[in-house]
Amino acid sequence: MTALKVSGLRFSYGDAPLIKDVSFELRGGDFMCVLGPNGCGKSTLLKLLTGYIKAAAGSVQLGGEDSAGLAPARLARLAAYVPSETATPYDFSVRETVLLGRTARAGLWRGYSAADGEAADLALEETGITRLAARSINTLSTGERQLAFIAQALAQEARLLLLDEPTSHLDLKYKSQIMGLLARLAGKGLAVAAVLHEPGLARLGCNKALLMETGGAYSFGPVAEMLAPEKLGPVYGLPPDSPLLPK
Amino acid sequence: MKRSSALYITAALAAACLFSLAAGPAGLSYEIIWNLRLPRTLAALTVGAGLGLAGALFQGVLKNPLSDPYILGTSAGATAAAVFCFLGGIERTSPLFFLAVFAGAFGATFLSYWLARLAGRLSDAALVLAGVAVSAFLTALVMLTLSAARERSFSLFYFVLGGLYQVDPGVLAVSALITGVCGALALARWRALDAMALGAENAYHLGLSPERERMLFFALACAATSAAVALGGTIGFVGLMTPHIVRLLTGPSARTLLPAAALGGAALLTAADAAGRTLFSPAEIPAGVVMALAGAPFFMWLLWKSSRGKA
Amino acid sequence: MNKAVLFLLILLVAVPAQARRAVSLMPSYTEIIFELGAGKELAGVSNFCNWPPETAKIEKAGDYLRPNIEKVYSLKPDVVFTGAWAGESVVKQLASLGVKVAALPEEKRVADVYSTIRLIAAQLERKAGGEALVRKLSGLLKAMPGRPGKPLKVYIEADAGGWTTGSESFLSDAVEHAGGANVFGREKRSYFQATWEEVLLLDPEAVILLEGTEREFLARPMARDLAAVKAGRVITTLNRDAFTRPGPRLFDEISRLRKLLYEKK
Repeated sequence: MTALKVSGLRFSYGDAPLIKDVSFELRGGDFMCVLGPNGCGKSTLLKLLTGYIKAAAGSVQLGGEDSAGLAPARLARLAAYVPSETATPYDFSVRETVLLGRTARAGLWRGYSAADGEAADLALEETGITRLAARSINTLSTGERQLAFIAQALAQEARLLLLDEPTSHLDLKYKSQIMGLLARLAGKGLAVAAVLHEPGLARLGCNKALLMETGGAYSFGPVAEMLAPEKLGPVYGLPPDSPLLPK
Repeated sequence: MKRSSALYITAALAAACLFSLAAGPAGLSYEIIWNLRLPRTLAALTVGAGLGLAGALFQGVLKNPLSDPYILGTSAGATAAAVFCFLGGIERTSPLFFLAVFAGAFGATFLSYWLARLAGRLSDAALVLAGVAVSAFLTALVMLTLSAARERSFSLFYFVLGGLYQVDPGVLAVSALITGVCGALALARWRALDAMALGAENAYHLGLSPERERMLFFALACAATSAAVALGGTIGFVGLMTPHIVRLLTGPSARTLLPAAALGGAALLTAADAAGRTLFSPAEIPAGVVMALAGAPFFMWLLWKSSRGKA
Repeated sequence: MNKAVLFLLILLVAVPAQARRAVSLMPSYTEIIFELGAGKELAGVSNFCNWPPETAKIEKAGDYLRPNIEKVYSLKPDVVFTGAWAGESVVKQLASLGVKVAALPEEKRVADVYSTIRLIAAQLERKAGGEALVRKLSGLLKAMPGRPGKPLKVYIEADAGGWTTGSESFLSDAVEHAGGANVFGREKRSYFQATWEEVLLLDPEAVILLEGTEREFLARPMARDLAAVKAGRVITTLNRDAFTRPGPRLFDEISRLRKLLYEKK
């Protein structure tokens, strides 16, 4: 069953179209990277997929269900989203932060159930930050923080994982660590889509790529094809032999 | 850490109640305790709990540690309503007064919300700004009326200062009921409150309707504040400081913060009220003044102690 | 002929001298000035001066806490009467503008009203009238029956919410003159807020409510157990303005209070 099926998605801010007739599919096991210049609508696309922004036309199906009519709680069980901005005004512990991922699944009056605790611990293990569980989230480094929020998303136990620029502010070690984690998660059956700013990272585990251009044009396909310099260069307005493009 | 903090707060609450019931120039007279100190203690507990709870709710939903229960114009609305009551001859003890103050408080908050909505963005910053504007306008209106209506201006000034001098049992019962219900409902949705602290967008992605949750928490916080103000006037400091003090003990999660803020606020205000009416006998210092004088240094000490622990 | 010229000359000198302009910034001073027959000389009064009714036509110059300096100046007064409430800055500002200010001390006792009357009378060149007024008012006090052997204990509530006065206020002294004993008379202070518990303990035999209704008062816990309530001596019929201003009407109210406290209904 496809984790994500997008058909004819359309959206514009004001008059200029941002996203035109985008269609693609993702299954469990896929790790897709979303590439493109600033302002082409990568983050907007992710938010359209979760329903935070309503599309002008087209449909998004999550796990076979049309997302348009779903309540946020149901949506949260189908798709988990890791934001790029994670400001936390109060000093929650890492474990508390991860447990927040269970919001959609937990009942009203009780505290977190044993199942919630287990899912949180599993997520902490998966992301390798169990040793940070009792620390305050605001005392972590940027990379550790990113891992904590990925763990939060994992605790949701959704089949689709969406990440908005998960590696943007991180050093090379964390960039590699996170890409490795995402690839591993895809290997376990999750469908993963991540907005990336560096095409070179796509080599660290992606099998699909979505290239978006300003004005709405896009292409979708296997990463080997999409990452070819002749295809990638025009997207970023760079010549095919630019050293910034991956070989 | 958690179990001991619950112990501290319960102990503080018990001590405050004991102090409030036992202390006074009449000593341990049964009649005085039953007829006079008990209602007053219950009132202080209710007002303190309501303001502590409301402060914690606003600080959580607005993600602003500087929020107090009056931030969206609630106190200005209550005071304005009290002005009109005094001018219209409605006495402090009449149920109409309670209704009017409650409606005024709620109405001012609703007005702030509506203004922010008109401006287009319902961001937290826009809400706070709208609240400031509404507060300023209503306060100016009150000041204007105060300077013109000399006759009852003193009673009004006294209301604004806040105090538990006169406690009407009916008002007390209604306020306590409202505060209790608001507390229970807020606590039931504690997970939502924690999620809201991460921002509306993230709360949505975690599975909530951020707009609906925000309105719900505002309504609960506003109701609790209005009930507290209708009972004891606009007592300051409790709503702002109690969540901070308590957060140092219990951590920021609403599951422990909300009950702790309510109980902590109750304890603090009861102790302050008792101190205000016994330390300077026969004179009486308003509870809000005592709280600010003693509470601020106490909070500073707690902050210093906790930062030493962390380092 | 000479007498006529002399008379005209006196008129020419005396009339301008008589056209004095005074500004009174306290309601009690205004009432005193009118009692002295000098009401026509008032060019300005405070916002709260409402007695006698003629004050309605006089220019208002601000309240006694913060008078409008410009307004006062524009009235071109020959003398401005301010009280202790206004503070030094008012006096300084007016003086620096060249206005003559008579800053009168606060009245802490009923007898201080006599000094106020004399000071005002002196400024308005009505010394004889001042003495006459003092005689008349002190006569009112002397005409009352002597001080009772056992004065009634009186609780004075000047403002709702337990605001009462210690010994340092003319209100307390007025009650003493009326034959009562202020329950808080041993407190060496003026206005303060007393705890209700303390009032209950002191068990006053009479209560004077200058603000609020009897109904509100009786709604307070254990109010009905007070000796004053049981004896029916909750007094709400004093004229608030007259009793709380250290002016000429105070003395009538003291006599009335005496009757209310001691005469059987």
